[in-house]
Amino acid sequence: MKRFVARRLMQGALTLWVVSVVGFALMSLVPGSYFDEARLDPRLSPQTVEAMRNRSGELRTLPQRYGEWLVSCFAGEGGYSVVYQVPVLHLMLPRLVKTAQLATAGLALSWLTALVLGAWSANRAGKHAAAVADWLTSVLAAIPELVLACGLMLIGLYAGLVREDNLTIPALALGMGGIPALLPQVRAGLRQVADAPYLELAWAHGIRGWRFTLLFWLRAAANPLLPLLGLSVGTMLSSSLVVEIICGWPGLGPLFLSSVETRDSHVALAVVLIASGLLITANTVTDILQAAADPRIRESS
Amino acid sequence: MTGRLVTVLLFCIFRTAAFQAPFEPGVPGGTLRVAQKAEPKTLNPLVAIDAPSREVIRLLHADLITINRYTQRTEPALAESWKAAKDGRSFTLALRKGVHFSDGHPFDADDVIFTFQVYTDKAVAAPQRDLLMVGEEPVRVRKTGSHTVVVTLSQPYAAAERIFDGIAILPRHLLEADYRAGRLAKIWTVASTPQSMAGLGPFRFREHKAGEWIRLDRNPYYWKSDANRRRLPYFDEVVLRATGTEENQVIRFLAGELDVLGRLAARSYAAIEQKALPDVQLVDAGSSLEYNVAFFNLNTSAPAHVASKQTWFGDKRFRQALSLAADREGMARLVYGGRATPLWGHVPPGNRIWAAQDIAKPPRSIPAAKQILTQVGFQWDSAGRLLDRAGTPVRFTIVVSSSNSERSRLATILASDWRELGIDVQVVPLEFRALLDRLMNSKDYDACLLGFGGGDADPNPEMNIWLSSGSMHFWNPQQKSPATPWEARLDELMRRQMTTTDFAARHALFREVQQIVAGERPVISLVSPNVLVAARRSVGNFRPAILDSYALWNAEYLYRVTSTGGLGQITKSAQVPGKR
Repeated sequence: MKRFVARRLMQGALTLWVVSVVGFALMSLVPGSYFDEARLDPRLSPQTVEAMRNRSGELRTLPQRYGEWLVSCFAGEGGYSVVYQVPVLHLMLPRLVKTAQLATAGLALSWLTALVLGAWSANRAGKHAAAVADWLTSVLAAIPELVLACGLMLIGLYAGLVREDNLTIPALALGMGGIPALLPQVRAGLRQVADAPYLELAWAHGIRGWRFTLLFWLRAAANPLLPLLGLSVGTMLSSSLVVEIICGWPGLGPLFLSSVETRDSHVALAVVLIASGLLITANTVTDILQAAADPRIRESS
Repeated sequence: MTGRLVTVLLFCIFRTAAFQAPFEPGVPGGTLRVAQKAEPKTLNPLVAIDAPSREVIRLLHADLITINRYTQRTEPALAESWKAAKDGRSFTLALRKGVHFSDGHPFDADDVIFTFQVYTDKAVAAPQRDLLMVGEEPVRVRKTGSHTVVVTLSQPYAAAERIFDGIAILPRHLLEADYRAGRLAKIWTVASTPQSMAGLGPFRFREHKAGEWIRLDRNPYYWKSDANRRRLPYFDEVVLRATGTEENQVIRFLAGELDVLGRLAARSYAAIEQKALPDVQLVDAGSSLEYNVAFFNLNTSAPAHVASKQTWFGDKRFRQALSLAADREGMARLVYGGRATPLWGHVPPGNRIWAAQDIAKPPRSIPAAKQILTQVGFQWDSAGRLLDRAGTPVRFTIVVSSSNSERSRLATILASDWRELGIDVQVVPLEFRALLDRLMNSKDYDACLLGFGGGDADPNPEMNIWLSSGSMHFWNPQQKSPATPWEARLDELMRRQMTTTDFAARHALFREVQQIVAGERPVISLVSPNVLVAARRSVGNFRPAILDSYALWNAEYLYRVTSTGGLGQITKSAQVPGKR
């Protein structure tokens, strides 16, 4: 088990490094610089703009800039923002908290809905529930996240829910956007194990209701669902970037968008690394959980 | 009743544009909540180049001589008075006495000397540096008393007192050590503490919440007072909230979370207007200083596929014909809902002092445009396509910034106007910085639609656009020597107006510049969007101007009107009219 974790950590670190190199190279291929804004101001001469670029270190070679970025990362700054003139970490932390809040709420909402509806509709008795679940899945899958978020904002505006620091609308948009990917899988997973002998045995023992669902049925179905959890954590972050921008939630989304627009490469790279890091971590954690939940996987690794 | 009186008063003020009525005495206290589309990137005047940062910095600092946003003329600020020497090359400025920085430290001539030393230092690379360069030489400031300084220029410079506007006077006692250590670019970030900052503006920095808001509080040492000798500003706090998108700005304004929306797109303005909220005042301050223009690539270093088209672009009659085909009124109506001014010359009418009145305004005419094209030797094939003398179909693309939806729509209309001439025109929206890369580096474009202006009403800041050697002379920048006789003439006129101190003579020179541009059409002027702002009616002394920072230029005089009884009754027709 220890070796398994160590190997996954090594792989994760390697992936992050590759992402950083590729990301850095890609960002430097994009034409333009933050200081172009000043080049459109007739009150500034090109010499001054060039001096600003020089001061920011933008004119150095790519390996030099990558080296500086690495040094800054190991110094615990996570890079240096050309636009804000502050260490990237300072920009990221408060926004990361905001994004984590939103992503947690969205994740909880989508998984709760998927689990409740999934269990209900996978049940042989829940014929209507199956219809509701099918309908909900198709409708939500058909609406692009962008439209969903905009529509919810409109509803929220009339309902008086669009207030600063109000999580309701962005969390709803994010959570609802996550449901169509989860619900069919949860249902299929639960159906698959519904006829398993150990469940029948539990049933025969007289175990019923939520105890049956939670402790036996869901547990039996956990194996195919756990990787899904890892995946949904990763996708939740990338969808939250869009939702944040639309709903004006002050998380990583607006910062990422503006950093790409202003060519603030260290900031953009940091967001990409956080997203990849989260995905890697989530996958690793689910692998470990899976191993813990299923003795067969434990044995084989 | 008083409300109605105020409206009538406001009405009169806006009618008689150049006259400014005194601000009414306000009530102290309260918080002013202002929307910003993006959050300020820095609080350091020496590095700020983005609009939101500059807006905040304006509230934190003061200049020596300021341009009244309303009259567009200079007026005393920290310099109580100034006197120009006879040769027009030096100014003696008398500084206000008894003024303190927001940390209580007294202000004197040494701060001014230090400030100018920093701004003109090449190593600091401040964005203001070029404004303080006159004839390739930085202005020199000398102290002649504890509160008098003499500013010397290397050559006579017209409107010299205007260069002081927006030059934030810096606290020497706080920054000298950083300056000596070469650390000035890294100070006063959004992460800095309020204790590390001080300014002479009406407010001072207190708190910043990343990505959300920035909170300023009243500077208790501010040097301005109102007619009743009460120390300004009235508001205790200003909160500037970054909303991300304009849509969010409007939503939060409608939800009552914001008091002032700085500058609105016509679409948002219409959306708020439609709600007809009794507690909202919408102001159309009229034509801005911005002008949207289309121009053709006349670079000699353009790539081959563009160079083949330059025989068309280089012909002034081709450009004139295309200008005649542009539906400027349609653009103002369709893109801006009528809240824009069609332009024939390049100086928008909002620039009351400098816009030439005698620029020809030929109405849009496709037949007239076709006639000119025929005279030059263009013809049409059976399918109605325009062919040049050699029989090649005329085909080109217009590049435009995709992030500016209004400008993209202008380009779409312009392309369809030109298609009526039988030209195959395609619009290519490009990401803003990618567009600039094409304009300035690769020169790989046929035609471009861009917006200029917005800085100051004076012609001097636009030297870089009109001089043939200028970096923003976009159609053919940084020429070694003027490529055409009219560009040579433009160079001469622009250089002369810069050193002519007689206003009437200067005005005549700049009028000729405008006539040449309108005749030769290196740029086809299209429209100037109006400055549109919104605020709660409870914001008193609200008088937006067309110069930045549009709604907040008189922030120290803004106050919260406590009794809204009479104000709610103002009908829409009584709203401040925009068109003059």
